[in-house]
Amino acid sequence: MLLGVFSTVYIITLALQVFVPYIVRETIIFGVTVPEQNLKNSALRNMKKQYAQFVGISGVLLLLMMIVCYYYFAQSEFMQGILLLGCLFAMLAVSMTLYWKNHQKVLKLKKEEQWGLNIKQVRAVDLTARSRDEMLPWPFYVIPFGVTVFLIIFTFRHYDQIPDHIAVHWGPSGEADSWRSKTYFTAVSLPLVMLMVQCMMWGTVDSIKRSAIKLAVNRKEESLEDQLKSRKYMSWSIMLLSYGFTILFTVLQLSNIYPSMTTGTWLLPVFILFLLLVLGSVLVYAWKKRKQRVNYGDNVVSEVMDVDEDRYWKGGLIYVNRQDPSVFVEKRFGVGWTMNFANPRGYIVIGLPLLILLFISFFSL
Amino acid sequence: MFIQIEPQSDVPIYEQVTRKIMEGIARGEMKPGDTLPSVRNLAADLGVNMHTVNKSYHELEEKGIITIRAKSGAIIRSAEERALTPEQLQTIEKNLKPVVVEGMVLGATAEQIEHMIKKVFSDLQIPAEGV
Repeated sequence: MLLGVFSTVYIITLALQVFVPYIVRETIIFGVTVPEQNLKNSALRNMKKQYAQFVGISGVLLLLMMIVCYYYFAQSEFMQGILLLGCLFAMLAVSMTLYWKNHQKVLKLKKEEQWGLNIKQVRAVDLTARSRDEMLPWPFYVIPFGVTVFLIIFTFRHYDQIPDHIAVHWGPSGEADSWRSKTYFTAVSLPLVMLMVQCMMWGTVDSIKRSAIKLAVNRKEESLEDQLKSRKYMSWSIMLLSYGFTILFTVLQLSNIYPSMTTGTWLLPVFILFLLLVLGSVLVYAWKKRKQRVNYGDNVVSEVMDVDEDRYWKGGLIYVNRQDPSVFVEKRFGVGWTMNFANPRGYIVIGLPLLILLFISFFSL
Repeated sequence: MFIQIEPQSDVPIYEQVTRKIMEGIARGEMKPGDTLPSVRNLAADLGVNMHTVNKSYHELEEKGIITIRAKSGAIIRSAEERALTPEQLQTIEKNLKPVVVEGMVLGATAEQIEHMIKKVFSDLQIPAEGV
């Protein structure tokens, strides 16, 4: 069971790692801005292909090794955990190393061949784009707060009926395996964690909404479509995650109040469903991104290119730009969005709830 | 309507924004009654500070091209509302003067300059993509 679930996670992560160069903007190659005018360089195409092949093959080999070791060597649960996580991280390490090597190569190539040196950099904006933005409005993300508040009140009203030991951790089989003695704080720690996660999700969506709709200057219409859709899908999947998370934690909390609910392993399907929801939404998002990606058939003949923001991307991965009011920007190598680490707003909407969450976990879980 | 900004140009960004919006109106891509995006949103999309966009909007308001309302945002005024006043005409003349003088010093004739002005007019009246 554990192996099955974990292999699924592994395979999906591997697939995403392999296809990342084909999902992100075509003008960003291994985290480096390449002018559309130089896009069809054969060296670049080979680099992407080699990356995908190498990561794919080594990922499959690691998976096979993981399965074999799981059956023959890993006896205790502890060893199994180490083995599975070890293989996953090894696979990620391989892909990151390869990313890094290619990142340096593209940077070198760009410098040597002086790409974009004499091309004017411009930023395009559609003044009507905002009226076409279809991200879900905030009430969708605030409704789950009501569930949490209700759950906290409900917990206090049934405080006497809660057993003296409260489950705070659940093993891979869906059974609780760690307990804390009952206090008013531990009794509501799950709903409090839930509240913080809901805050983070709302904060993320709200910040994405305030962040830039970035157009590709030589493909304005297409990139606008892509941007509007990405924003829409992102807001949907965060809503789904928020609701899924709320349901999962509500079930867990109710099972603490009514322990008879947890007889047997019926919590397991709830965990698996939640996992499927998370992985599914990532996969669907990646799939949609791939489908609507702006394609450059040939080298673009144009006098202008998008603004080269490479200097704000540390290692092509971490975005630090003081001038940019956006809190979230799309990842340059990966699926989804990443934070602008120079924007204090990000630390408030994401950092603060995370800190409180860690605080709660530390003292109650 | 698309606008394009050159962050590395010598022309300050707020001025580029002002010019592009005016061009959009002259070209008929933006109609009276249309609302401009909020200062916050446009600043995010351009990747510039909010003050930059704010400055540009206030400049447009001073010129009598848009009205800024607290709730509904920046609205483009209708042709009647922005009927040309003698003062505005004077400002335009004042702004045009150094350009014409430069042309004169370099030897451009009155016809050549007149032709240029006519060309600007006719260029803007034909809706063209992102000039």
